[in-house]
Amino acid sequence: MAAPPRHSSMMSTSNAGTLQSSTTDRQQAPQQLPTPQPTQGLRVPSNRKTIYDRHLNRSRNAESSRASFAYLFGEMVTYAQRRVTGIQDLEKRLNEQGYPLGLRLLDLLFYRSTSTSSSALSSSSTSSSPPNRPLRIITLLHLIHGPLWRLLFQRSADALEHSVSPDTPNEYMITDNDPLVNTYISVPREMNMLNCAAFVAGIIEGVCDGCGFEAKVSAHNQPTEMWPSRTVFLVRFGDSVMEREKVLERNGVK
Amino acid sequence: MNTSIHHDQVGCRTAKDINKLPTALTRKEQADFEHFPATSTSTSISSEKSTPACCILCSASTLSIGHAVSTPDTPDSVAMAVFSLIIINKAGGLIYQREFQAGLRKLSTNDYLVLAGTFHGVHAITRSITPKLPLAPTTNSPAAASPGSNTPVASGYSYPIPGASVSGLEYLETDKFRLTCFQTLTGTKFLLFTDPMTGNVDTIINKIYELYADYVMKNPFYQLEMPVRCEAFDRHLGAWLRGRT
Repeated sequence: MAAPPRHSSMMSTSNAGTLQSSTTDRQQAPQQLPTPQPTQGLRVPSNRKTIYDRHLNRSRNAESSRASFAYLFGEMVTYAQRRVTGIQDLEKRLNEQGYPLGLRLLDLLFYRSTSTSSSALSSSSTSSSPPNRPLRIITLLHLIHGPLWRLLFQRSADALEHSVSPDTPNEYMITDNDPLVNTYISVPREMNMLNCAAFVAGIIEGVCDGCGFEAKVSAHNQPTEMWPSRTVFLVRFGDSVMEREKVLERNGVK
Repeated sequence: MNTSIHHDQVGCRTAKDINKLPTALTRKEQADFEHFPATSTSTSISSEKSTPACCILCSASTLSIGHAVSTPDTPDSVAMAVFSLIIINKAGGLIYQREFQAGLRKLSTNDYLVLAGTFHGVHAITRSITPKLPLAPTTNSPAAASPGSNTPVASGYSYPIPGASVSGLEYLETDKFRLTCFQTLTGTKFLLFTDPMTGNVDTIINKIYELYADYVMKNPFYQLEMPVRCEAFDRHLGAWLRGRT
């Protein structure tokens, strides 16, 4: 909280978001409003407890409805579709929508996995100490494949593979047989290269970057008879990451 | 067109004598309908769920929809058969048409569009000709004495089933098929052609509506009121109907 003029501009978020700030803040706030409504902007329940007041672990098992997510995601796709030049542009926009989410989710993921049990995060650290952030690529990918996927979709991803080609040792693939985001989406035939799970690819990219692994992630359709919306997320790590990986391997860091 | 309309209290299922209705079509009209089944079947339309209802009884040529199975009378194999599905948007345009059985008589795309538009009009007509029973203050007939909550008393009439809103055509039955029309609150109409023996048509239609709400309306690439081209909808619809039979 800074000087009063700036404070008034932050009114809508500060009032609802940080109710635990000093009481003087709260008393000043309504006076600066033109209308005497303390709950303008975000709606605050009568007991003044918002989602921000809850303990972060309180909502760990809370789920949002699949339908409301489907409508929200549908609108996000529609929004991203405005003024795009092509399918790649659209996928890039979806990716950019997911990227900040991945960066922020990472902290929540670490917080929740440290506060419960160390086994939740399949880190290479000894079982007694709290898990570290992943240092090696495999650890990171297991973090994405398991805990991150469970946090987002309530289940693990279906496969994790390393590229067999010797030319591309930096490529890894995470497979999801039935991505939640694509449940209700049918892509028209003229855009059949498009995969709206590019949004999830953006989340993965954000998580990788947040852990200090520079990577590019893209989503690709690989339909099978049984899983018509099977999606492969191709994770391509940057050269610096691969160099560091070699050094860490030599030094025996796990 | 030789159409006779009876506003009486006859239940639709029991009106078997209507089979003998004369069907005197001119030659031109016969040519118009030559791709429709020529058998004279009784067609009954009920605009309310149960009797007493408004029964419009007309000859088959007037309203038959051309979806009779060409192979007649195979009751064992078609016991649960769903023949085809048509979805009409609120403006009367055809937005979805799919057949689930082989051996149905094909119509051209244009004919399907005409069919959808015609049905839309017929549905509107059946809605508006639902009889209005005058409210006589002195009589004590049950329909007049118990006006529905939504019936304006000032205008002085009541519908056959007080309290129920006027729905228009709900089903149409011949001895070859049964057409069930389900209109959503938003005005979209689902027409389901089934075998007359199929039971639980309401369940089927409700499930189709659910699939439509899920896989069509939640699809960001679907434009409202436009033809439905959603691969996930096709897939789930086919899988669900196959699972039932």
